[in-house]
Amino acid sequence: MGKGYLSFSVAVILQALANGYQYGFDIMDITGLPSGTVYPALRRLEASGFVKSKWEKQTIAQEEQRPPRKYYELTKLGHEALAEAVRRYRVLEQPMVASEPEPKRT
Amino acid sequence: MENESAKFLMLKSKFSQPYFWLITAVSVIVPKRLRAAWKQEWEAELCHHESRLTRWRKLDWLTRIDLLRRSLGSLKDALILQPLRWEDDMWQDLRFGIRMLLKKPGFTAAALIALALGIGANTAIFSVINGVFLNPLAYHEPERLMMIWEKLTRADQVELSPQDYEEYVKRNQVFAHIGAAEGANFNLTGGSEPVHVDGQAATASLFPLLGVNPLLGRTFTKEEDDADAPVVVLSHRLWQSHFAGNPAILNQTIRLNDKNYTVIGVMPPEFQYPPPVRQTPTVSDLWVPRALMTEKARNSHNLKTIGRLKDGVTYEQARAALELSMKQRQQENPKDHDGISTNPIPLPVQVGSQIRLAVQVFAAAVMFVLLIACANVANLLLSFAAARQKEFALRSALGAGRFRIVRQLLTESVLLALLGGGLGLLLANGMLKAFRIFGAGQIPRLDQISLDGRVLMFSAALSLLTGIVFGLAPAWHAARTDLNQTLKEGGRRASGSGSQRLRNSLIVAEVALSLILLVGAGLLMKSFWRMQQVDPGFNPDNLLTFEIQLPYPKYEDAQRRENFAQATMDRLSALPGVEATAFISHVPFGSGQGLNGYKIEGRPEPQRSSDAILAGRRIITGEYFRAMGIPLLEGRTFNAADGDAAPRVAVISQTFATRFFPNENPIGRRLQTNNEWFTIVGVAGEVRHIGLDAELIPQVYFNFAQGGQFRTRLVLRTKNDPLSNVNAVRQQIQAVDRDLPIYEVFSMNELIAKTIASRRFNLLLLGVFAIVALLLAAVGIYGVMSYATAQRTNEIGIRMALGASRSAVYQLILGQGMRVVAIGLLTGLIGAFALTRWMETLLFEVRATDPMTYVVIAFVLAGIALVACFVPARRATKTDPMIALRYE
Repeated sequence: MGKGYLSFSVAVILQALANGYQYGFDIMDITGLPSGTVYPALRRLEASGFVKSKWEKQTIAQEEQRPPRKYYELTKLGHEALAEAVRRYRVLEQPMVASEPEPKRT
Repeated sequence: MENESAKFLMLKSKFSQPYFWLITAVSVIVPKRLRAAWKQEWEAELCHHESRLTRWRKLDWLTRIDLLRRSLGSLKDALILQPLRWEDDMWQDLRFGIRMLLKKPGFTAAALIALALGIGANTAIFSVINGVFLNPLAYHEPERLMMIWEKLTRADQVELSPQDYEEYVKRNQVFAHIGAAEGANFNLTGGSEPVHVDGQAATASLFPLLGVNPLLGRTFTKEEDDADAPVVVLSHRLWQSHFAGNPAILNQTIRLNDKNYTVIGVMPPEFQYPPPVRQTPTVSDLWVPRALMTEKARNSHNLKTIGRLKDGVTYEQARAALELSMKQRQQENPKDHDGISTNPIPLPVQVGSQIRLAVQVFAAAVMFVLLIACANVANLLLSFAAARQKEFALRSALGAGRFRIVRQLLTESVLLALLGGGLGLLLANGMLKAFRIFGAGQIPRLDQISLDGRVLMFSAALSLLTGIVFGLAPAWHAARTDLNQTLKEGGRRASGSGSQRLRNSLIVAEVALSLILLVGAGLLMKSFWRMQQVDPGFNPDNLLTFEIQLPYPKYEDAQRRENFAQATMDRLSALPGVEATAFISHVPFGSGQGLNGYKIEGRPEPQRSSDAILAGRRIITGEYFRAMGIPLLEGRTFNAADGDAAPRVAVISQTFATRFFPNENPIGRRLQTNNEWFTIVGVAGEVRHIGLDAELIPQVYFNFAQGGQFRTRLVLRTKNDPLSNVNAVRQQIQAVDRDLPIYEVFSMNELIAKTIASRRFNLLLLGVFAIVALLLAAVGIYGVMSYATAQRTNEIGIRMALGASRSAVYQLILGQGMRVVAIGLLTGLIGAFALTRWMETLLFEVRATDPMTYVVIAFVLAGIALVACFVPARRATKTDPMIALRYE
């Protein structure tokens, strides 16, 4: 992933992450992008150091009777890249219209 | 992560929806390293959404389809992770290995050439084994077929006579069917030129027994066989070459030996009978019912007989049953069965039995070549690994396990071996092309030899194994590296005495193996040389030979055959290039032996048929001895007065005279054969008839004018290149009889070359392997000595600084190298002594323990080894002490 250039969909995903939508499926819900776009994009962003992933706490998963989920956070590099992308794609300045993101529980 | 997901195993029962199955299926292609985490991420998301939808009471088929749709994206996700496979350990090792090999192109090239030679030679020999011995013959269940031969005192595999055949059929209990065929020759006329065709007169049972259906039409019936029906089945080859593959050939009439035959069938291309078990099989191109060949003597042993075992009968049971019925026959009629025993041989055992020993020798030889190549590459890898010891020490220090380092090195050596194997395949392909040219007549089933799937599998497996074999020692060695020591020494004198010992033992093995191969090749070479010294008993230069077949019944009258012979000889002798012309039934070095039994007048009849006087029977015209350059030792040859009406006369060979008339003059004595008496009028010089390496067989020559044969050879003594006269000769023959083809046209030197061709081929092949082995060993010795000397640069510098002379340095280095070589030579001599006796039957007038060969070969090898040691030694003496010491 070359520096200084982010495709629109990747920029949208960064924006979603910045807005607190941190799980893969939640990003799909809010951006409307298909899973076949969101996940590969997350892998690439992680490989380039724009995001980093973490596993949610064991206790939460146990409570919910499922495996722990993975969530993604923007890194400093990711924030810079997003700022750059926002300048490029003006449309990103508009707020994302959706219900409140699910609160992340860590 | 894996532990944590294990905790959720209990939840797995919940994962019963198709999207979970999909994730599980897709996870298979995710790189192993990432798989567990990847799967958990997807499953957790799906679980979470599923339970949230349940909570909201929105989990219906529509939302389930939505989840399935989302999970489909996992495939793309998994695909995007594929490049990360390159970070898996194995690929890392591989990439690193490729980089290492590319970095050292000299090393890589040397190793690849050695491996390609070793693996290529093995692949080529294996493809021969595969084609000749492993590929099943083109019959139905060939492993249920047995050839039935008889064993006489002189020969193991004698064809059956018609009476014998009837006995086997009558007494048969173990075979479902028995069939037989005998060679028959035909002149096929009616086309633009008469053509000679080799065929078989077969029993009707033969085709159903072999289980091969004709491509067109049918094969003949029992009734046709019994009734002498003039029907013929064609081979695919003849059908294509002579009848242009025309399917309308069926039911047409063709002219064979001046008789009309109806074509009733065409066999498929792969069909052959007799089976292609011999080195020089006569390829049969047509089959007629056997009963037709009535002009053949009824007591001749000519039937190649084959039986198909009944279900459940083993080879041993069949042999026992045949032996039992032979015993019964001997009890019923002892006189006719004296010294005869039955000798059934399973067809798969029969195939290629004549070349089995040679192939075994070659298989051993190429295995030796491969072992030498392995030793060479192992040596190279050892030096290479020694140079890399610092790298390994560093890797260990950084936490690489011993196993990881061994694996890295093994990956490199296997990679090298596989690349070498690939090159070896190219080489093998080239060798097979050479086999097809030089092996014609030496290797049966030559058309079956190819790089097929089984050969490729063999080659791949061999390469893999090779890589592990030569890679293991250096890898194991590298893994044992003492970390502290190596890092302290800074990678300089990194190889210890252990590694030198390993290197030396590899050299011992190389020298020993190549010595064994060279001794084998040397023995073959000496045999070949000995054989070329053998005097054939006549002058083979400027002799032309060919065969003709006078058709029956046109030439039924003996006088017609005699008239034909006279007219032919008159015409041929008048040709400007021809000095002398003669007829002979079986030319020396041609096919056919014609052994007959004889009685000598005034001697008691032999009590046992095995004591009978046996000698070759050759029917000649009077000019024969002059044409061939065979000296007449006593008496005279046949002349015009010895016509059909005159008393019967014969000329005997020198061996016959010395063996059966040791102390008397044979001239004027009388012999009996085939119920006729012959007076001996002359003694001719002895001639090698079968081959230069065959024993001398007594011969009796009879006069063509007193009973000439239908099928006969002609010999022409020419003034120039014999083959330049062929067209003129053909014209003259056809001027006498328009329908007579001449065939098997050869110069005598070609015939002789054919009989020694298999020895020449064996020598060539083993010689090539031995030279390859020698070169590899020389390169190996050189490599090890250079390395060992380079390691001692320092020490040599000190020695020279302290006043050691150049010759002392030479002594030091050469002494060290040659000591190892000497041990190798000794080992090799013992090995050759033990192994070459195995190939004794391939030798001629040379013992397998021939001391001369051993000594010469050992000296040659020692000389080459000396040169290989000398070069590094010279380099060592040129060492500048200052530079060497500064190195410290």
